[in-house]
Amino acid sequence: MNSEVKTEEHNAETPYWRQTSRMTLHLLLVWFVVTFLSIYFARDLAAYTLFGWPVSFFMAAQGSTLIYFGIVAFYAWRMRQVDKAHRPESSHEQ
Amino acid sequence: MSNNSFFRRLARYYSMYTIGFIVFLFVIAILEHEGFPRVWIGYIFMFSTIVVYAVIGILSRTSNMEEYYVAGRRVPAFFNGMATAADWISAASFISLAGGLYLWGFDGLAYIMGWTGGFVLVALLIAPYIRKLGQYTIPDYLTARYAGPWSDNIVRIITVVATIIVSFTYVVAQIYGVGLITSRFTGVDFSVGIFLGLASILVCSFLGGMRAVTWTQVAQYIILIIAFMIPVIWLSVKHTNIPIPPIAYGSAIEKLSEREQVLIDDEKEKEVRSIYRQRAQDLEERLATLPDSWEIGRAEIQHNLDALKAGNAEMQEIRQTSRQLAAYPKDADDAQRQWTIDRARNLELTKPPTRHTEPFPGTPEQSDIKRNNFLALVFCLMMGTAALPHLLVRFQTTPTVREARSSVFWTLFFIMALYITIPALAVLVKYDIYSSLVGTDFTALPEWVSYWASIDKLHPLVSINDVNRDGIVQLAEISIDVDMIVLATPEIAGLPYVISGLIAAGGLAAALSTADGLLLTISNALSHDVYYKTINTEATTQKRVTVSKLLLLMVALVAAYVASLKPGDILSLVGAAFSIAASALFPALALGAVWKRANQQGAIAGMLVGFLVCAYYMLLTHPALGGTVGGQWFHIAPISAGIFGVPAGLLTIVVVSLLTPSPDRRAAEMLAHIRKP
Repeated sequence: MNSEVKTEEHNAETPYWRQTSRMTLHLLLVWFVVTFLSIYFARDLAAYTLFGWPVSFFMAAQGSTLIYFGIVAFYAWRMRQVDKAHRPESSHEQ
Repeated sequence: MSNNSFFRRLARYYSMYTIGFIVFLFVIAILEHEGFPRVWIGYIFMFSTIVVYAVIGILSRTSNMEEYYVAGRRVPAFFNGMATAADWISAASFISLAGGLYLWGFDGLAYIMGWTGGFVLVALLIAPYIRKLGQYTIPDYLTARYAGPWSDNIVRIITVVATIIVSFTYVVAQIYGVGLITSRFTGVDFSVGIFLGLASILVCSFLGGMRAVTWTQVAQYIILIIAFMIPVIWLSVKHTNIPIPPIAYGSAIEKLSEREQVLIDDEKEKEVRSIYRQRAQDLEERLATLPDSWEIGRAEIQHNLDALKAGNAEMQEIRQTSRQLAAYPKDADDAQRQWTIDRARNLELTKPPTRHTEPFPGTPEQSDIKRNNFLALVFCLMMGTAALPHLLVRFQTTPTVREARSSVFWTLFFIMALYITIPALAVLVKYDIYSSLVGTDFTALPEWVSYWASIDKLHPLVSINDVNRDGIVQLAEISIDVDMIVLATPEIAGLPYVISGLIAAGGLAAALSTADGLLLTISNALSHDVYYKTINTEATTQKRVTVSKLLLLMVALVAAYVASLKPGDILSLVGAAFSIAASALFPALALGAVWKRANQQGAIAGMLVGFLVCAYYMLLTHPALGGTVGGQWFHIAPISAGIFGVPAGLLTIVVVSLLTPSPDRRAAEMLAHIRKP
């Protein structure tokens, strides 16, 4: 194979990678916003309660953790589909 | 499918193991009921769990390189999640975190957010790509990604050095934890405890490397989660009638807030706090009139003691006064130091109890500083988590990339089970102490108070003094050590001693599992990355495994020796290890997969700059390293040094990479490979 062509191919963003990286970016955004907002506005959120918890305490003690868990779960589930859609027919992972 | 049958076989073994363990608990409980002595229960728990781990280690012994380094890459995601959770949950998480939350209230929750949120970064930016490349260590990954015009060994060695600094600090703390737990629950000497624990770590990782460590960690997770859950569920039912602590403690929080308000307004509490203020003022005056005040004070205590002995005073009072005399400063300089500390401590005690759920209490300015520190700490812990080599290497052990992603999911699941329960425990124990210990008569103190106070006479883990001499316990009269809360929970909750033994076994499992993973990571960095990749690239696989095992033995002995010296400085630096890992490794790891322009020059510069900025800030501000509070930038505590180190590292990688040529063919090919499904 011509080396020029090969390099070209490496530099091109494959649809698979475009999809993966866009999802990664979106999920990182969710991660950052949840973390930052629930801390930065903790004092304001403390005025509201949710089933007995002040909202800011709930977010810091378990709410944000549950959201992180949701992000990781969604990523694992969605990437499985993306993998399937883009994997060449014959090849298998090692 | 063979994968499926392997999974089923593992599930069968570990279910049997779990059932066996529960039966074992019942047997001990019955023995205790029949009058079996407490100290023997402690022995049984310590030795039987250590023997179980050793047996798993012996059964999984191997000399095969693939098995030794990455457990043969056939660990199913579910079990890898459990093993990684045990790897992750350290002695500090298990023993100290709940106590920390008890003391700090809302502000302590930074650890919960940071240590769980980091897994988002692991899942999205690092784990799948490391697994896709499929080498053995983290230095392997960075070296392959940042191949370039210079020798590959530069990136490798920098990564190895960072790995060793971080992991070694961390492993010393784990081994210290092992010594603490074994000595406290069995009465053996601290250093004997350390070497007992070490023996079990070694049998496991020495014989079977990653393979043995993995299967032992799964067993250790099962024990530590059972140990933690039983007393918390008990407390939860006791105070709220709901057996699921994370759901139940909402109502306990309401009750706790009411109770806090009562204690803040209570006249007796105010009286005790004013006594502390008086004491602080006295100390202030004595500090001003040194050295005369030292002479006078000494004579006064002596006089008191004589008077007590002459009169018909209670034995306890005489003993207390003679202890006071023994602890009196040796000279005026000593007095200066000791009294300054005492004054600060008394001033601290004059403050009314903080509300557990109030974020960042204090004046607006203090409050903003606390908020900024909370934010900084959360991000440092997250990025540090995503850069801890002993954690990341676990994702090399799964069969596929897909399983690596699911194992991050399972890891977070198993970690979350513990981490969302810890704040519940803190609230429940706090409510218990606020409502039942506060207000009891001094003649009717619960048994656990005297038991825990007697363990270390000089620095009692718990001390309750009748400051205002009214015979009733006030909250301000109680002082509790952070590390005691979890260990004493079963007794505080009124559970039988068998549960205390179980908690000790759980803490031991947490410390041993983390120590196992760390030691393996350090010795593999030395044997694989230093010995094989840079010194002797011709070495046979047999030789490589042998060298690895020898190095493991040496590192373990050095770590145990350091831990046996009880190095306060190293232990206070453990939290800082996250900042160091984050600053030195996170930028290179994170940009590696997502930014194709990042090249070797950028990575080398970025890792060095990140590390140096972080180290410089710590030298400037960390008391253990000779720094002072005055050196702080934006009032950020030294533990969060990474908040400066990470941006510095990221920025350096970007700038230097853009100023130098694009990554070469090897790096580009590697990147294209890890970006494929």
